[in-house]
Amino acid sequence: MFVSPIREPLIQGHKTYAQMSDDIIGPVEAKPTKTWMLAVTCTALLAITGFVMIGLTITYGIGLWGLNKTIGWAWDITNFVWWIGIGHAGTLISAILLIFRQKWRTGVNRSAEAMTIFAVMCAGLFPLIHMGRIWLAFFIFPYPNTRGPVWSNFNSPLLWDVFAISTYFTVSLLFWYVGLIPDLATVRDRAKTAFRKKIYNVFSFGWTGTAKQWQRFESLSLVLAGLSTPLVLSVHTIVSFDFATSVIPGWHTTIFPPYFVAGAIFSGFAMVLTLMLVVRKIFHLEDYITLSHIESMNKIIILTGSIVGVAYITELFTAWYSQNQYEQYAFINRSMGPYAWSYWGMMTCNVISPQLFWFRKLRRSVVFTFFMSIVINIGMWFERFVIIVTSLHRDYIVSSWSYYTPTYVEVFIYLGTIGFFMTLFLIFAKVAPVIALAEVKSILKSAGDQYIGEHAAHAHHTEDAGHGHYETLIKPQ
Amino acid sequence: MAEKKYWKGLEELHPTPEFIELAQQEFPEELPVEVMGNHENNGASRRDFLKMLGFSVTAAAIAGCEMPVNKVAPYIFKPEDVTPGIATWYASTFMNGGDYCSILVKTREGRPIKVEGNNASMITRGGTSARVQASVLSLYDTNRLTGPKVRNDKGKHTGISWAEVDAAVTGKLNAGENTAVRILTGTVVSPSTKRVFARFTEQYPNTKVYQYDAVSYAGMLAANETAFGVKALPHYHFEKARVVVGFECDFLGTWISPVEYTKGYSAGRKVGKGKKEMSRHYQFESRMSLTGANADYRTALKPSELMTALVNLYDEVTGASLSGGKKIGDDKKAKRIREAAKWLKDNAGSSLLVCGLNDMNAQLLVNAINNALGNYGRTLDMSMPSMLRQGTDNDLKAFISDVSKGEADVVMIYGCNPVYDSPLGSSIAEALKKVDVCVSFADSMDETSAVCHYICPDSHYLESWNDAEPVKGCYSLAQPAIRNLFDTRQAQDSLLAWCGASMSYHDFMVETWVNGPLAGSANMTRAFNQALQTGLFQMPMEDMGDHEMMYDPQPVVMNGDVSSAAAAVLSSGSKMGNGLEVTFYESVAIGDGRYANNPWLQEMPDPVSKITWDNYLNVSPEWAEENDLMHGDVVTLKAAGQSVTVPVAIQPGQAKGSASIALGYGRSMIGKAGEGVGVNVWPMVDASGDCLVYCASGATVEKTGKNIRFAQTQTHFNLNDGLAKRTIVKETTLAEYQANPLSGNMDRAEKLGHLDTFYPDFQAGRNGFDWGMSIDLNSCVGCGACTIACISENNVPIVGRDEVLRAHEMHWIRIDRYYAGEDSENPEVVFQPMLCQHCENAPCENVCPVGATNHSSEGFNQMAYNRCIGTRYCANNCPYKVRRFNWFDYGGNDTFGTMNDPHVNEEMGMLEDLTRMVLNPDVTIRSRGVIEKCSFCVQRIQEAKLGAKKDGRQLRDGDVRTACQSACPADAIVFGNMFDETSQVHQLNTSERAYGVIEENHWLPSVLYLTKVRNKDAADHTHEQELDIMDLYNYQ
Repeated sequence: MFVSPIREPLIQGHKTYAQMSDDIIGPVEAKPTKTWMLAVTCTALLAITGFVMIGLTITYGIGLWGLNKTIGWAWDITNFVWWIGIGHAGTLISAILLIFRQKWRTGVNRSAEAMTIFAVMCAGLFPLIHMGRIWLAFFIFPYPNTRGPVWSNFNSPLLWDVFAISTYFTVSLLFWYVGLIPDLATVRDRAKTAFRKKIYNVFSFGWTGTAKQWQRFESLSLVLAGLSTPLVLSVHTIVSFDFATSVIPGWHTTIFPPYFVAGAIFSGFAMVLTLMLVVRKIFHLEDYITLSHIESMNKIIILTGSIVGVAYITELFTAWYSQNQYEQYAFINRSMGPYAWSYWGMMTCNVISPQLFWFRKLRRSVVFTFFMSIVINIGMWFERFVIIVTSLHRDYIVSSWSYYTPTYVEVFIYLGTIGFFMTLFLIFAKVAPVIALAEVKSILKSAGDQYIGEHAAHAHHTEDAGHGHYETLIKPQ
Repeated sequence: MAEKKYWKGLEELHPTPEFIELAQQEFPEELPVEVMGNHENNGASRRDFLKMLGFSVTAAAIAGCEMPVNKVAPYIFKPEDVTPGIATWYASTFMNGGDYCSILVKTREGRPIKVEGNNASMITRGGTSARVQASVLSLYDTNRLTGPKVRNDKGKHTGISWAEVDAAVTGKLNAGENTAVRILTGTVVSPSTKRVFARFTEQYPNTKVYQYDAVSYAGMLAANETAFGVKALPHYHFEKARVVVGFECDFLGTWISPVEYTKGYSAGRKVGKGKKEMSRHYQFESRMSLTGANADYRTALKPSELMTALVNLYDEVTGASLSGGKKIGDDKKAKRIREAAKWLKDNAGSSLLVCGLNDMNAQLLVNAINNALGNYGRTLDMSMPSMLRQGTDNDLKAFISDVSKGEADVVMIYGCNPVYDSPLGSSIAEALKKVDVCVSFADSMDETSAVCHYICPDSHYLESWNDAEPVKGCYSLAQPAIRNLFDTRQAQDSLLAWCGASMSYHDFMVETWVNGPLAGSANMTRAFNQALQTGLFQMPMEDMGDHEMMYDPQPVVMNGDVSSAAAAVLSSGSKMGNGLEVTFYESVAIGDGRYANNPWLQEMPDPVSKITWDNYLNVSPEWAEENDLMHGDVVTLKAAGQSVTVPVAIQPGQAKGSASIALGYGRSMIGKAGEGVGVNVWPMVDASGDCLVYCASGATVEKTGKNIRFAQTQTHFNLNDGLAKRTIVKETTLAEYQANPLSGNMDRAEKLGHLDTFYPDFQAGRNGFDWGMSIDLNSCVGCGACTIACISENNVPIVGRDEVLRAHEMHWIRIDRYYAGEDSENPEVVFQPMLCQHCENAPCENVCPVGATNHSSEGFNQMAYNRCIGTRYCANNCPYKVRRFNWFDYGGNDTFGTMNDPHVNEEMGMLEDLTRMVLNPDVTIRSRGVIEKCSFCVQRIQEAKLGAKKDGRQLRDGDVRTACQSACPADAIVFGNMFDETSQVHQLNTSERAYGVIEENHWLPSVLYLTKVRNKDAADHTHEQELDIMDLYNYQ
């Protein structure tokens, strides 16, 4: 296959297929390290605290939160949108980049997809627990009943959310798991104990790697990619409808769907980077998640960050140009009202700071990228907070203007979801390959540094490299 | 080969019969279950166990399916006048101290649950106040005493029987010859009660009855006695006044009979078709009172300046020069005095000057001004005086001196709480120690009854017979709407029992009527029953019609030395003018403190400050800035030798250099709701003169460095955001209105013109009703009666101070208050009742994922509480922010039982069985986690429809009156069917002044407002500028 000479290798260290298996599956087979145990303990404790707080909320009522008569949503829906946004990177990488044949995606897609699943799990929690009567949550489903029948209100964007998110979760889960099957089979094949073999055999659905299986695998992947692609756009569009279809100044905005999708990808890539930079370091996967990967993702961050920035400025322009006083006030209040700190925090984190990635050196700096990924995560959380709380706290009727501060319950629920997310991710990283082994192997010959780039050894032997591939594909061992 | 045998113990190797039996049983031990109905044989087998298990699991499952229903018992013999589900109404009378209102009591299944105004009354004319509306809750106050009590040696009160009390008290009364009895009461409006006192005095001739009022009107009584020889208050007719001038007089909020005055005042200020005139109202006052907030021209004057201003006004009106050249300093303010005088003179005979100062000389001047204007016999009447305040401060002092001299053997305290609500409280408590027998008739343990030997709890007024004579010649009756809940006895019955009259108070009262108002009736029984049925006995209506007084206006002869009065007023004014002048006022809700244990009233936002559950020191914004004080800063207030720690509230309209603080707070012994709310400033009231002076000069304020947040339902923000004006309130002036009725509302046509839509007509498919409401901003005085009426009608939960602090208050109808103008001492004020606007294009409806809130076929927005899952999306999307979420289990009806103990304060009432008796069974109690809001009193609509159907007629305009509408003393709210073109609401909502709040956004609210018309010169009217004092407030 022709590879442009300016392409950088995506796999470094003159890897053979066998080395790749060792590098990627090794951590799965090794005993849990002390670091891992400590990390899981901490995150699990955080998650448990969060769930206790959720329990308190359900037991005593939403009054435990800092919401009030004017501000009906705050951290709950902020966190919901934030988590959903984070999930978007995984889908984008696995679906859209697949269709665009971006080979570099293979290094990060597995983790990104896992992140999607876990982020959507965290996100889905919030619409549930923000309900005053969670035990009646099933009312939102249009199920046949004897009450008339009473149906859900199909006009409500909140109902669209239910469908959007459940579809999204299902497709993402399938996509992720289907991708895992060959790799789980590899883990099984390398397993030393019968128990381990049995477990991984079950989870790999008895994958043997026959040509027919690969053919079906590829077809299914493509179908799922096809299904996921519109979801990347639709899910956050629908989430944005929660606000866009309302009448509240600052919410009622037609620009929201593209703006939210861009913001989602923006925050998702930031979160992927946060996770991947840690994984890369801990599991010594620098050869597979290269600076080139990081740079590619940073480029997407500049793009989406700039789209978001343009959206912010467009909002200001629209408010001014509309001459609608309520809209105008909403934006004056955002930038100069009591919550101005969150607005300017958002502006700094999301619009100004990503522009630093125009410098190649910074794009390729691991430390700086990690720092930026955190900044962007914070900025995108602020964005949702700004949209939700600053719009609500001062809307039409001046007498009801109010102020919101979170309670410890809300803070710990949020931290709890981060703990939950991290716990799931750590467990995932321990039991399954964090890099899509089969897919990375498939690009070795077109992107391995022994084949392309300045260190390429031009007189290579396909057999050497093919050994590992052969092992996985043919031998059931 | 024999099988090898293993054994566990010797019993098994050598089995005994018991062991065999035991071994054959499946379970070696007895099961911890009993076979039902067979207690002797406990040998439960496995099958029994499984049966029991199966039964209990099934039973638990069945029980789990249904909410447990407790304490429901059908009537075995149905009472004749109780039909379950049908309300029974009784005409009655609300009386508490001098507060009076003629009412109808709604009872359901024998429980009084709601109070409505009695339209037939000529005094209150169907109006009510927040206090009246809330009185039904006090019936179910858990703090009420459940029987008589006696104080033991240790000072604790313990239960005792009535017979024992009677024996003890009569024993003491008859112990010696000429037993000295001193009875201390608040104002007694009831003629029969007065007769009881007379009867008692007959029996025990050495009896003296002293009357005092905590918030005293002694100065007026004395002035009227001097001037006219009548020790009574005039009966005011605000509806006849074309000019009203108020001097430190909150006649719409607290002064004498606010319901009556609001009725008259608002009648004089309504404009509309065929009535283009309205009264003009000048107000001179130091604090921003509810009345001042409604004035056309309000002038903030310090208490000391008020005195000078009053003399100046006298001079201006009469042309005298009693001021001796002394004028108030500010030219602008002096000009207002001249203007007011000019208007008074121009409208002589139909103007009215009222003054709330408890100062005989000041009141004498006021009388002189009114007399000079020829207002007596027209806008105020001394020939049929008001009887609502009769107490004098000297009575209280005489009582104290009698008692402390040891001249009293028996003391009885009825309808008042002097240890708390008097500046002389501590000396009263001290004096009462010298009395052998001290009897309190208080219905709950209060500061005074705590020091009494016997507490003979009076019944609640809803359990009692009584009568009233609020205005001479106008009587009303009170009848019990429920049997005594507790072992209480009416005070009058107690007195009758002790003086040996072997008749009940009811019979005694009938006797009073037979010999009194009804004397001369042909059929006495019929006449009494008729009075009982209507609750009223009034002089023939035609004599007291709206236009002519009952008596011909006599040229009033007025005595009294006006010039020396003026000199005295000036001198007391200059004495007052010293440092910070602090006035003490009663709040609209809590009064002199007697309503402090009523959570409905505690949670009612103060009409002006919008602060709940607290009292505070009002200071002017400018003064606060100069003294570096922020809203909520806690200060130590030192005045009159006393000192209290109290938070400061920045109050626009408070005269600079003065401050004010509400009385009635800081109760130390009252009950769960009121105890320890605010601080007690009664000791600061000046009791040195003949009349109490509710002002202390030379006060100092020291910062403590602390700042608290008020439980305030509305904070101050700029209404004008520097852009265009929000279409929330619309105003105009009278002259502009007369020239063009559309003035102030000119933009409406254009705004509505933009609202083209391709959707079908929202009224299409209606079933003949399109319910709508009209609220007249010009009539609404902001008193808050509607809020409390709505709580009472719709079981709106009370949440307590901590929850209000978190903006969790649940009121379905609130009164928004906005300030306008750049002068922070004299801002213009607008009150706007805000409730669910029942939008035809309701933003809340389309966002609910489960369709819990939806549009009815009759044009209102309805909530299906059972369906609500509590996403709060509707509340977010409500532009009017009228939807309320049940953050906790406020109603105490959680699906899983009450689990809210740490968060919901029990004193708020709805968790107690007794207090829950006040709930309206027609309205669902909302559970935790659901949204609730105004329903346009849909239960009343249904009831009226059924009534019309039963009568076989169409529903008529006025058949449905919402709770807020019927409570309103200003008739500001009109409800009805918009499809009926003859309906009042249709007329109003299609009139020139009608507009919807932010209606340019096409939500099509069903509630329209009528523009506020101010009777002031266009030049003085604030059209655009808004008050900007935000810096002194915290945002939160």
